[in-house]
Amino acid sequence: MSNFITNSWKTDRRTFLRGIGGAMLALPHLNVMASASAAEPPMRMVCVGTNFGFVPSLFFPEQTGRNYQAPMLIKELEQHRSKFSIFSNLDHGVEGVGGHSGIHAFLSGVLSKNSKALEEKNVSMDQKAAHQVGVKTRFPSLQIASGDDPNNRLSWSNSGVALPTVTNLNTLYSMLFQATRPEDMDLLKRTHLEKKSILDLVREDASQLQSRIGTEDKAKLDQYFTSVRELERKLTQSEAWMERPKPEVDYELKPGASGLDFVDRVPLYYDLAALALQTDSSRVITLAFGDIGGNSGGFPLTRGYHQLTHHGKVASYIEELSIIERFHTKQFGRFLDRLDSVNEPNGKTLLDNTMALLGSGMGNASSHSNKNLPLLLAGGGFKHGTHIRFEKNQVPASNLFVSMLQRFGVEAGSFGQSTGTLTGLETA
Amino acid sequence: MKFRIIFAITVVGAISSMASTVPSSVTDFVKTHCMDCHDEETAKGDRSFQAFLKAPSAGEHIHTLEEILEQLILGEMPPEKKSVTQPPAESKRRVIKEITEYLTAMEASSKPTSTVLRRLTRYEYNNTIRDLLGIDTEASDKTRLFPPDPRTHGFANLGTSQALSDHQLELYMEAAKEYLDLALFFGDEKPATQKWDFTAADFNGEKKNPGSVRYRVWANEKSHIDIGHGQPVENGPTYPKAFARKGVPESGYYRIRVNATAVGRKHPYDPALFPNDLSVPLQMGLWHVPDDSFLSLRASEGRVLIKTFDLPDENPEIHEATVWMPAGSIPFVHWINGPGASKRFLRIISEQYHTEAIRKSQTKVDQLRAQGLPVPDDALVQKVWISDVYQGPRVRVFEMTIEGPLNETWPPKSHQNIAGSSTDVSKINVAELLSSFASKAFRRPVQLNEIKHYVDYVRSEMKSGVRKTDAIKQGLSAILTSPRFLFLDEGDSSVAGPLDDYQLANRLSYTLWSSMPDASLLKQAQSKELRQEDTLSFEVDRLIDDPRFSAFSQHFSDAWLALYKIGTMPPAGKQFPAYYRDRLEESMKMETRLFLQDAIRNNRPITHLLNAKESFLNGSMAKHYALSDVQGDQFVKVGFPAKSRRSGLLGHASVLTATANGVETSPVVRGVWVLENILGTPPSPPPPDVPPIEPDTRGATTIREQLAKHRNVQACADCHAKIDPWGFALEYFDPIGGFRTHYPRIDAGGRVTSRPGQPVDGSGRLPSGISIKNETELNAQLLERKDQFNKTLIRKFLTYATGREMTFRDQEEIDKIATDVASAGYGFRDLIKHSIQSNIFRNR
Repeated sequence: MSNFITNSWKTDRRTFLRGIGGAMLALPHLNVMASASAAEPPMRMVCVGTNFGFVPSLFFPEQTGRNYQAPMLIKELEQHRSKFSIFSNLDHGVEGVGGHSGIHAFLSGVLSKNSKALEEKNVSMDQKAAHQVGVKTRFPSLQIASGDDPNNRLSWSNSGVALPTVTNLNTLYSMLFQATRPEDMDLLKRTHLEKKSILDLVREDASQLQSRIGTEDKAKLDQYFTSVRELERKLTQSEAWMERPKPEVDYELKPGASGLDFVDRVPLYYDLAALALQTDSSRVITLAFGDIGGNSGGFPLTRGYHQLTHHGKVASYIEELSIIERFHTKQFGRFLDRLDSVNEPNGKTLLDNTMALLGSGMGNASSHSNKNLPLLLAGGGFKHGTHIRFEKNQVPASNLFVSMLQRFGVEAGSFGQSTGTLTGLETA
Repeated sequence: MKFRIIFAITVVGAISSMASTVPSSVTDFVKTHCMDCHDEETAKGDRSFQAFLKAPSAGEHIHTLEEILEQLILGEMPPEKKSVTQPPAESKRRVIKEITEYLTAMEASSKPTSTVLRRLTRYEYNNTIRDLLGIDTEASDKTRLFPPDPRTHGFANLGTSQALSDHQLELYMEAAKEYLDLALFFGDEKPATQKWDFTAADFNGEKKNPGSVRYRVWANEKSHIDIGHGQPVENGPTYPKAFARKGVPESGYYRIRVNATAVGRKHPYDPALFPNDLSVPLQMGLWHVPDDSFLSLRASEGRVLIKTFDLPDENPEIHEATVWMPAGSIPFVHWINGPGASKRFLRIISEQYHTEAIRKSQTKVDQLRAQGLPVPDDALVQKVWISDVYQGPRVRVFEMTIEGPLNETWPPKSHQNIAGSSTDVSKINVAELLSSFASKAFRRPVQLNEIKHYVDYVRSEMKSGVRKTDAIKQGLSAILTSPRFLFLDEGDSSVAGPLDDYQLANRLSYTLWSSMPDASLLKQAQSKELRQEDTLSFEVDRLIDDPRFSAFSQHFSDAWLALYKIGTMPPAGKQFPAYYRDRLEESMKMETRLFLQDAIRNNRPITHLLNAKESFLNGSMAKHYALSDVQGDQFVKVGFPAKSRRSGLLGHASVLTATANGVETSPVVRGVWVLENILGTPPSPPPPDVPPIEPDTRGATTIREQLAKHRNVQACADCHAKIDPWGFALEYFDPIGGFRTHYPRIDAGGRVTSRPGQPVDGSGRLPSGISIKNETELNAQLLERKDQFNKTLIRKFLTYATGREMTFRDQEEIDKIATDVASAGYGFRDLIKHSIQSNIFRNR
């Protein structure tokens, strides 16, 4: 019975992806829109987060250094060994502790509820990077999720608000690559104009209100003013991009792709993410993989994902759980394959110019622990190939984020609770 | 470092007003145990405490105290070296306690004692739009993409916690436009009422079914369609197929009639094959969805359940409902208490009862051929289909008619609310329309000069060639995006004086209705009558007795009892099939809402919330509680038998589910819940770096044994002695609130085995020294603390009502309210009234 299911989803997926393989390789002729200097392609950042993390013993190698023996989950990525590093004992300390409600702190290092007094609230690393990109790409950042999970969003603005995600593959595809029809374009322009006028009107109301409220209220109203300004900026940005044609890609997405099972959708999210990077539609992408949805996500499972993560060290539970977890590292590996197969003008591959982070805000789902987060960084032109184990409770995970942000070109001396850059992570 | 953020708020402003000082025992401790290394000269680790000792209570030393506390808790300081004398454990514990208390008080004192400008929550926004425009915001919810409102201690409406982004502002704009499109009918003629008749042939059916996941088979020349699959959240709805492409042409009220019956409830098969309960009538769910994308497999949010009908067996009857639907909507039916997907039982039934309906697969045929065995030519032809011979339970639908829009009034009420009785836009005076709308939307009188910019804008748009209708809609959209609409105007937070009459009216209606004040409340504000004690009391009664008061029981129970957590950690389907099959999630929340509503409306004593031997249940909740005398979906008041172990809120499945994680129960979580929400004494959060308990999924050791280990660690013991006993007593209830005497034993397939696991032991020793055995004795202990409960409830109510957390500076007033409530006999309605008459409520 279980064999039957396994085979069925594997076959399905292969059939579905047939003909795509060559598409990625055929792409370099694409116009890379905004990168003015062809010789120096921009750095990109992709952060992949899962809701339930990984079983630590299957993720972290026992040995450190270059000659570690790859545990089960890492084996799925073996072909890229020299292009990624694994870090253990990095986490967000008590600031990330909250069990399931610690997941949203993965990329920010601080729980939303504890960030109200901070200047940049619980801004996430990807958004710091996106801010740097600004109007250079059509989308300053893309937040993609396999299912909308408002409580576990990974990307946070510097006003402490979780950013919405795109979950529908077809929507994502059309955002990126589908040309706007002329009649829709007129409507879109008209709507933009209307929105801007509305902003002018309500700004006046806000000013009226401001004159008769207290200091703490003003801070709240400031948030309103900031939102008005930011929205104006966003509208202007999208107007600028509206007229410019979207990149053409040789990639077909079946109309019903969004209705597919989890196992069939995940590779497609990665495909579209790779294409978005390759066409310079965006340089900052976050992918959140939460629950696996109906039909056991298409996996041969007898229990739910959440239930399996409460494995209490029972071997049969862990075995089933590892089916999902291996899928995650394997798909991440496939994503790296794709990036590495694209040559960039500077003689390097897209993977060399992309920092791809795989991890989770959950360290050990079985005990709801948010310590020792699974963290794996690939590409980005760093020296890779090792497993670095830090001393427990000594190094904040934010140090890794500082290193990544600096590599991205953000002049950030610190991020969240960081104490510096990450020792041992050097550029190649 | 690690405590910095939690206490960072402290530094803002509050220090000067604090009388509290660092206890001398703390400074003595530092002098004795820290100064060898942390004096000015040595300053190990760059830490010198000399400045701290000179002025320990100065604001700038908060961080020093936080660091000291952290190191003591972690046990890292003083370092374990031969040269260093360790402080006695007892004095270390006392110092930890004193520093914690000091820092906690400092933090509390920094909280504002007046409400900070707050924004409407998502539900307040929707209710306000509903009442302002007169449209059904549930049937056509345009806020689905809004970011969730952040909750602080369960409350979603605290000004200090709320955030706003450009993204949300844009969503406000878009929602306003869409809602206005639904509400206004400029230039429209009264649409003729149409009628659509659908026969079974019009539905998305099939002629034959080979035993698939969904079973929708036409029979008898397509005179009816049989639905053989079904579940509460339907993956395979049945609907008129061609009609679904466009849906109903106009927004409005429609009458829907469905001729249907149940068949095959008594069937020749093994009853165990059907996981649903066939001892009750088959039920047909009638829904509508805003467009056909909601008919797809995984859609669920955004569908609206119109009604559930009990279907008599073999007796076709017309089932009718009238409902408001937005343009484009499509109704669908399904078997709401069905057996789930039909594939599994159809396969088994084919194998056991109808072997003639089994077709050889291509693989099987190939195998036989390979083995050289004879294979008939028509081996692959399905001669008999399972649907030809199936006699199991099905919902049988004959026809459906839709009639509407009924439009008993024209223009619809929503249009009249905004633009009066004419749909001729040329007759509209822009300035008048905008100013009357703005007064309603801003919920207080608005002078024309305050909204002149809107009027000017609409006029200039019209001049530039925009149609008058569109220009007006833009002006109205802008008003609905204004901060004066989106925020609750409660005056100046730095003055913190009494609310004016309009502000009071708003606070009152947002407290009790989660919506805007109605005309009569605004009239009381205008005449300045509302601030009179009698008038206010009269209005409180009126609002409580209004149907809109159901919003209070919903959102207050979500916040106070943490019921908002239900659904965030969904129970394991195999272990708790009833949770999904019987739609317990919604029903358990409904039980608690109705229970609270009843307690308030009838002014029952607050002790009723703890010891009531009655509640409000529907059929599936009664079954969940092992009571047999309720049938159907209607909630009715049910008295519990004397021997029942359930009483009050602590016996509600909602509370017991919200305090579990869907897979297992935790006495710690439930203990903390009791301390926080009933007794009002939340324990301090666990020290950093304590490993959480790794639950034993197999059920080999009990949670008690695991916690016992945890408590052996001294750092944990003190607090857990205060927390755990309250939770142990509730161990007789499983993660979805079912009663149990034994823990379950789970088999390899994730199902509960018939052989029970370890017996439940609910005993514990409270910090007071009293031992309790179970939840009944726990309740008795809580009842003895009813004055404490009284204060907690007042505090929670006022937090909810004012949108700010209560501080120690509110304590005196809360004590006063508590005394008044007690002398009035502890009635829940009295508690609300006294709280509303208090200065805490009446002041900013």
